[in-house]
Amino acid sequence: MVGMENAVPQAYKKPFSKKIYPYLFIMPFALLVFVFFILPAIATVVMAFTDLNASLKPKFVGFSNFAKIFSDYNLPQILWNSAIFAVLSLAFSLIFALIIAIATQYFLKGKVSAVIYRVLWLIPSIIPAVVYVTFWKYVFDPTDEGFLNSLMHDFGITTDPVSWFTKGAMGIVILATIVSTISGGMILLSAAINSIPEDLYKAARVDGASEKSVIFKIILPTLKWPLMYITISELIGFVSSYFFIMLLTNGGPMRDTTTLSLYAYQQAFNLKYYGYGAAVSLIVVLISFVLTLFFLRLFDFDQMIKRSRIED
Amino acid sequence: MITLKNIVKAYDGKQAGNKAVDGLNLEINKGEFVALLGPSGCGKTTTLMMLAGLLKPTAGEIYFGERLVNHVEPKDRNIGMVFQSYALYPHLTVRDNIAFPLRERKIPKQEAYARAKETSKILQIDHLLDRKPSQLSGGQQQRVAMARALSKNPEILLLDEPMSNLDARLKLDVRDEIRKIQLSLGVTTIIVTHDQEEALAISDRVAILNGGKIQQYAAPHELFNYPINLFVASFLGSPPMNLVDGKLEDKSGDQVVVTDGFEYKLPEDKILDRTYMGKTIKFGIRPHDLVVCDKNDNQAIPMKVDLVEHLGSGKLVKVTDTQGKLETMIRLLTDNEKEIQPGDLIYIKVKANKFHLFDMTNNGQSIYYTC
Amino acid sequence: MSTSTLKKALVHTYMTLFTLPIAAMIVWYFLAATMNFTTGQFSLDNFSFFQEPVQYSGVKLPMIWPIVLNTMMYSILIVIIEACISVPTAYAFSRLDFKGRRSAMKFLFLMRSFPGITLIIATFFILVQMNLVNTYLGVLLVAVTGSLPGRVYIMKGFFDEVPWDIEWAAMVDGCTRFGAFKKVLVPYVLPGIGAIAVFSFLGAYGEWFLFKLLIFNDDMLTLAGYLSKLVTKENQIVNYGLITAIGLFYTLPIVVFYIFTQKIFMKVNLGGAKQV
Repeated sequence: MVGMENAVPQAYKKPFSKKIYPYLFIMPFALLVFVFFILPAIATVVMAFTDLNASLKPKFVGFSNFAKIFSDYNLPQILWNSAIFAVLSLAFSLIFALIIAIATQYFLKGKVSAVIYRVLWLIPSIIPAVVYVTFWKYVFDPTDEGFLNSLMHDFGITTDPVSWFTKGAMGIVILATIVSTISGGMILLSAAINSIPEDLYKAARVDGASEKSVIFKIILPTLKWPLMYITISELIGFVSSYFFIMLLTNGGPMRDTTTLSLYAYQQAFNLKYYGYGAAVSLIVVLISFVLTLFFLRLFDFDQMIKRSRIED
Repeated sequence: MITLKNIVKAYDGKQAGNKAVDGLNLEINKGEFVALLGPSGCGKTTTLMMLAGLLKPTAGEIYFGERLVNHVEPKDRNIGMVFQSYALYPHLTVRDNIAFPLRERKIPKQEAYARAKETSKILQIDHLLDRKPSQLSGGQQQRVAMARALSKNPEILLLDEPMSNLDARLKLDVRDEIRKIQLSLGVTTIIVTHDQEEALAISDRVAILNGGKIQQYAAPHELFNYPINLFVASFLGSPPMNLVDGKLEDKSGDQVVVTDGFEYKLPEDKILDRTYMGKTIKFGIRPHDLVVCDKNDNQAIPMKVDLVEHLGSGKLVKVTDTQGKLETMIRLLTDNEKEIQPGDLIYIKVKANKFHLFDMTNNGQSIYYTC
Repeated sequence: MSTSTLKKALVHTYMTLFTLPIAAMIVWYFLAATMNFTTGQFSLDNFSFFQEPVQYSGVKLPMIWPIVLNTMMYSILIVIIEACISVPTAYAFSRLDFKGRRSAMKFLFLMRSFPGITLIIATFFILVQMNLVNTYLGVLLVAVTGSLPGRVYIMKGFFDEVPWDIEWAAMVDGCTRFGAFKKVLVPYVLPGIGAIAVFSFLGAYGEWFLFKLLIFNDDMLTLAGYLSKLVTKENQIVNYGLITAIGLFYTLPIVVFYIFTQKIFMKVNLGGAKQV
């Protein structure tokens, strides 16, 4: 081993090419995120303090946009609409997702009928929104041609067509929304129920447990986590999205179905009050942000981030 | 020749300060077959990964011959490696799997395929060349992995638990075959395993690791007969060595091991230095070095039989002292002919004075053996 | 009748009731498209959009075939761009160590659950500044940024499941880290790339909002944007026959596509659901 002692090893330093290697991979993503997420986020904040409108000559106006929001006579109703929309949509879609998941994964487990029910329920969520809403428009069409109206006419309940959208616009919007969102939660819940070992049911049956106690003592406890996950992620979605409302009622009649996020959109793009719209959407952003932080708390990040097992 | 000098591997992050490998020294001669053996977490796999270049040592030097390879990329080390899961490329056929390392060396396709075929013949898998890994049995996958590792004529062959996913019988065949191929090719080979039987059977030398350090590095029979410390003694051997707590005492000129259940006089022709007297020790005897004997034999120890297990080739008898003072049971092997029932009183003695003493005041260092 | 058959009958009754609206919906789409409601007879009049530009109650829309072409082009472009960006990003997040990985992951996660739509006003002005309004590029960039976090997250799940052995083997066999990525890891995660391609395609095919907001020329629309023009018209009289006919033409391929590709969804490891 003569000559070995001469070669004293240097402490290892990563060459530059290896240091930047990971960054090259995330570069395109990072650029896009910067331009189309971080910049808009900053811009939203800035715009919220200006009076940017169709004239495109913005002036800094301080908090007056926010002052205007809180003195807006529409605000109480809009907030109420947003809350009703989000809470009712969430409640119904959770309950139905739960019922369908238990029915197909527990009572009808492995049956063809379970598959059929599941596939049918998935359809509203894969049909593109634009086509999907036409069905509800037809069902509640205010003219004689509408499904409900012609049905009621045929059965002689009423003679004059009912103007459904004037009377129960919010109900229709919520109905359409939940029918298309149920399947998302249902799939997650089904997967969780599916993971319950068959032995557990067998043991319960041997112990003479009723179906009710199987559902409440075995199934529901396993669903705790997915239910939390669905609750928060769907709540974020309901608070911020307005596509179905826009397509079905566009916020009408009057402001009966206008939610905060739709209101922001309308102020900006229909009335060209961009600054004011940005201020309203900033409030939506804040609500979403708080909900998102709750969401993040549910995740175990250490489990998601694993060290590379190759050192280069 | 491979030389590892004072290798340290510390992980940062969560287990910061934890050293997987802690000052490891090892020399492996050209053409030698060496096993790294130890319990899980002993640092054997980490050592192998550093030899492969997939991990970088925190301190110390690794030499291949005269060449310092600490920072040499895995691809530039000319090593072949077989993994526990075989790690075959699922999207490639067996032929492409075996030719993969050659193609990476820019060897033309024709030639690479020809060499792949050659290697596959050695491992008797040339009829499987067009299959995908998913269509192979575990044993066949193992052969493909060997072929892939050998196709590029590596200087060093690294085997990471290559047989732990095979069933017991197949293991024996594969073991012999790996050794045969290794001898015929003369490739320096390092195997990592937790299976001592495998390590002892296949290797020229075995390094026993624990706590990131080499405990003993020697030929298999040497490890077995002259364990350097308590760890090696207790780790090797099945059934394991009997280890009884005791003390060394000088009793009117005789050096005696005193345990809770019995006393044992050291043979007069091999006694210890006086300074050892009074020390806490462990008295170690392998089960096959104990025999059932006559009451009147020299140093016969009376014992009560607790349990008799039939091993097929013989019986494993577990005994305790008549007063039940010993904390551990003593195991011994007898042949099938001997009639022994639980509850019997028998006398046992140490065959040809074959026993070990470990100094418990000095990390269980071996201070005495006769073989 | 035993209690268990009774129970099953009960379950079926409820499930049928719940599922009825959806079944009715599907039936209605076919009926509305192919029936003349006034005469109650089968007719294919509504499908005349195959031959001539759509025109009713003052709305004039271009011929459908160029729109179909736009849709295909746009969807395929989205699939390619999203795959090309999300695969390397997911690889880096899953298998490489770099400073800031942890915070970048957190940010990615925040983005995934954060509704990007709330930032649409500002996004619009950034596109105006970049002269990208009324261009496909603008729509593409915004759409891709919005859906990337989800794609990266799914893709990361696939990369997480590639055994390290395989990458080690590749490195020992002579690959660089990048070589191992290209020749071994990417082939290994091909099912994952398939899954995100399906998601991307479905997303792009259904994109109507960004077209409504950012594209002003009717002949640049895709099918979804085209349909949204028909649905969100100011006057209340909606031509169901026409909409459902075009809707069917638009939906059927996607349902067939879904039936053939749905198996791939089962392979997706949504970290969230798995932590149960």
